[in-house]
Amino acid sequence: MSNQQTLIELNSIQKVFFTDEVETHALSNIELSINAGEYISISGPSGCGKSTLLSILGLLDTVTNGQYQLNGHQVASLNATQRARIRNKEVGFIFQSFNLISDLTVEENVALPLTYRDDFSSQDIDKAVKEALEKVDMAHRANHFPSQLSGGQQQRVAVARAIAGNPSIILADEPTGNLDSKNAEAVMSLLDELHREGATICMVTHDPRSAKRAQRLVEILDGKVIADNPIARGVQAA
Amino acid sequence: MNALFDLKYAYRMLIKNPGFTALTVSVMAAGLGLCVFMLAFIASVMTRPLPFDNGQDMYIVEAMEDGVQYNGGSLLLHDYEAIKAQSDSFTQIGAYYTATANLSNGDRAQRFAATVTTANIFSYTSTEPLLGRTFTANDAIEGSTPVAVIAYSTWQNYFGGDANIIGQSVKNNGVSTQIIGVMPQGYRFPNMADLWVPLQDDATRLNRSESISVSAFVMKKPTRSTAQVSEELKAIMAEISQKYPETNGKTSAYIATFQKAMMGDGANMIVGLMLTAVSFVLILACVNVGNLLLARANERAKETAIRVALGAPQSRLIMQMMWESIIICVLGGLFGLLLAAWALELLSYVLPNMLPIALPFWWIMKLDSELILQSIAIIGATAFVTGIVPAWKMTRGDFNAILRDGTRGAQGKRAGRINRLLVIVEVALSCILLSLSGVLVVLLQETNNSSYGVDKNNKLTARIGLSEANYPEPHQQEQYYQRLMDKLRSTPGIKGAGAMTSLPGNGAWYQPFLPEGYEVVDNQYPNTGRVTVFEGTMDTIGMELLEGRNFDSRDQLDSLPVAIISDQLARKYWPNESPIGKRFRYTNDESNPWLTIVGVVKHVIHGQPYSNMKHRTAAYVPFTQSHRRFMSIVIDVNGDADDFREALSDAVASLDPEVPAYNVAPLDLRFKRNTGGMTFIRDLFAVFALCALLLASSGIYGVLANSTSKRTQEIGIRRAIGATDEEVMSMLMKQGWKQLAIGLIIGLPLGFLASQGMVQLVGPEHNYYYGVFVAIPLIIAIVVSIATYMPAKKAIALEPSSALRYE
Ligand SMILES: Nc1ncnc2c1ncn2[C@@H]1O[C@H](COP(=O)(O)OP(=O)(O)OP(=O)(O)O)[C@@H](O)[C@H]1O
Ligand SMILES: [Mg+2]
Repeated sequence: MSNQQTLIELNSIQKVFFTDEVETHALSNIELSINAGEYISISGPSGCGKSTLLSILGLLDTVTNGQYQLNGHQVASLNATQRARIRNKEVGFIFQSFNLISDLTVEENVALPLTYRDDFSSQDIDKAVKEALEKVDMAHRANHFPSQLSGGQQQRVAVARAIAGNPSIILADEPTGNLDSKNAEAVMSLLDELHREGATICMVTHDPRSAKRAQRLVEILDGKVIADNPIARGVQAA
Repeated sequence: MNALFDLKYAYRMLIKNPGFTALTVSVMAAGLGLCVFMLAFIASVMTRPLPFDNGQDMYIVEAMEDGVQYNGGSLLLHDYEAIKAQSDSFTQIGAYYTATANLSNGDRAQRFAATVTTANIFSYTSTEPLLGRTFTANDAIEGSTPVAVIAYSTWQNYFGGDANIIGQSVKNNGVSTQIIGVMPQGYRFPNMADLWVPLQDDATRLNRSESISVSAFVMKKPTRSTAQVSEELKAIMAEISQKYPETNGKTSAYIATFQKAMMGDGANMIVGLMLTAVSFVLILACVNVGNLLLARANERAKETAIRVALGAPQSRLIMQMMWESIIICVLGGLFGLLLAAWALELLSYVLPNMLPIALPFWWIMKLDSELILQSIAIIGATAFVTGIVPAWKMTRGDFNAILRDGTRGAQGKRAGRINRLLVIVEVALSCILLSLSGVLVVLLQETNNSSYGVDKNNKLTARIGLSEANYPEPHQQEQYYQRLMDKLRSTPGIKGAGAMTSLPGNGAWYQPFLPEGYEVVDNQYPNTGRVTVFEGTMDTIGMELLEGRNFDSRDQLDSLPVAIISDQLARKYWPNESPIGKRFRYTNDESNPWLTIVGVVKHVIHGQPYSNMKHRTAAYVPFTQSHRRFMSIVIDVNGDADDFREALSDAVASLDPEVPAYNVAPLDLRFKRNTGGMTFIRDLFAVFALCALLLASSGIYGVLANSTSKRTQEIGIRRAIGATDEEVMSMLMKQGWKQLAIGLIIGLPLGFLASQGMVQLVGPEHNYYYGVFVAIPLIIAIVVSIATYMPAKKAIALEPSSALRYE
């Protein structure tokens, strides 16, 4: 919406897992482009390759074949260190099971990715953490440990962690999968809000109601994109 | 900031698991403590340069007879002069020997160790006297006023710290001697000197046969290696022995540091073994802590995966893990240093009573700055070693699989391999250490029980020295000892008394000799010990007469010169015939008479009961035909020998208050101290071995418990499909035994090899020590079996249904 600049460009992406001489073709010939500011939802049956696609988008995994352009750079053949650096800067992850580190406080969890950067002084980090926590309305729990929070609260902290570094894209793998409907709703509205403020979001979800909150729905089957359509506005307007 | 963030986290993790932290820190403290202790011991005994200018170039030159290195004054003064004149290797050279000084000031006589030395000893050690002066060239001229420089401790203890000490006279061995200087506190060079008197003997006015024996202290040119100096010394000495075969038959010379010369032949090997042992213990400690950290890294795989997803650079992930090992090792190192300092303190107290000799001044058991620096380096190395494997493992996990929700982290092939390797390493290392220690225990058992050829029970011994001034004539000496023997023999409770120049267990005076009719090849005269004994001594001390007769009143100064020889000497030179009536003579002096053999006694060990000393032969000559001023006396008593100390001292004092009895000690205690050094080493290795066994067993238990618990689910499945408990148990036990077998196959031969140096040094009669190589594998097998059995039993105790749900 805000700008129509292409953020991500996937060309004939292929991912094959080799385990014990069995080849699993998790992704075959994926073509996908994502513009900055877009809100995309990915759905499909279990085992079709959604999480694999998200891992590749987030540079957690390498492709077997194909081209991946992120923010104008070819990233398919980078080494682990370079991928870690880009992941840290450009990508914010939100997982189904929150994945907060239990021995770090809320504040420290959010600060963690920023401590991996060279361009953030401790004041910068404090400021960014505070802002992020305020955005998800968790500033009052800054010194708590994850185990002292409810699931919904934990996921909001995870969202804060994902956005604290101001990434180019937020990747969410079933962000509401472990939440009851009330908490799920809270997290979804948080994503809506981030999107309105200009964030690019790519979300995997089974839940059709959640999927509808995106602008665009990508459907996958057996590692292939079988449908890629804009979603009729409706919920979005609300 | 970033480092602080990780450090804080590491700290929090350690606080959170106090059990884990206490365990790892104490394991490291034990390993590092032992290591620092050992390094400090070796530094003070062997490697730290003497605390003088150019201490690293200070060496001693001593004689070597037939390949055996002697020390404590073994070089003929003539040989010293020759070396001084011909050698080009030294910037300074001087000579000294150690003598006994009976100081008396009219009413109180006390015995001190005097160093009779060339005047340059003080400039050699770059030390100025605290009071007065040191020697001048004039003091060394025969006939000049007798003077002495005294040690600080002598000044304090004997002279009460008298401020006007300089210029005062004291009787030294009956000769009025002027005190000209007091050395600073702690100065005891070359060894444990109480006072120094100038060496006045002059090689140009002495025959070789009358020559005294000295040690040479030398300042090696820094450009010369000790090997070069050795070559030069050998060449000089070879020339001499060609010229004077009667005195120098197989004599050569060697150069060594003062420390090494004092420790003797086996020192390098023992130090090598100590270092090996201590590094093994340290490796075991590192392996254990590393393994515990690895198990933790596995537990925290998920957390690491999250960090990876958030874009943590590899270096940060590694540092994250490293911080924990750094904290553990630094804490362990601090405790270890304290432990080592405490143990060194303790050692300083117990050592003086364990060893047969006074400890040399450089044996200062302390941690100096160099040791602290070494310790810091070692702590850094252990922190790196213990941290790097878990850290490396941590960055190598399949984090995608871990992040995927619900994935169970099955033990990867690589982790399994590391675990197996750890068990093998622990088995092998502890096997080596335990074998070494076991062999020492067995060897020492034998040497401590070795018969010296005498009856050591209920015997009290002491050393007596008559001064040359008061007892110049042989008949005076004989009269004194005869009166002393009579006095002692008539004391109630004393069954017998005797005197000999060197007691069993003490080195005899070895001299070149020639059995009549024996062909000497290449002028290489054989050696044998020469011991003067007083009539009745052999019966008193329980030497067994095998053939012929004892010395008796027939043997007088003007009668036929006679000798009694040991059966080993008899077998060597008069095989298959009786040596009685045969003759031999000591060749070091032209005027030595032919001695007729009148008796054969059972072999007596003169020296330590180890291989190179144990079988040295000796011959005994009667006091009446070979007078001596210095004798060791021995009494055979009813009851406890210690109860007769006063009776003995009183008897000696009643004859002549200026002649003290010193070194009063029961014979069995002397024997015990004779092997005190080796006993100390054995105890040290026992500590190493015990630590090794503890570390290895706890480590193996940890590894196996960990890998078994990871297999809980698998075990559940196997049982669910019908495996019996026995089948599962034997599967798990077999796994442990396989690693046990590999560890033993590696460790046993290495342990055997490592023990061979010790075996050679001690030279046992029997090969009982082979038993160690049966017993040790058994012990280790039992330990490993228990370590395997316990976690296996725990896994089997779990119902299959709950094992399947196990995570
Ligand atoms: N590390 C791996 N090794 C081997 N095969 C893998 C691995 N990761 C995923 N796969 C396979 O790739 C395929 C895609 O898996 P993926 O996790 O992407 O599915 P998904 O669409 O996220 O399913 P779900 O909705 O159940 O989460 C599956 O067949 C899976 O078995
Ligand atoms: Mg998935």
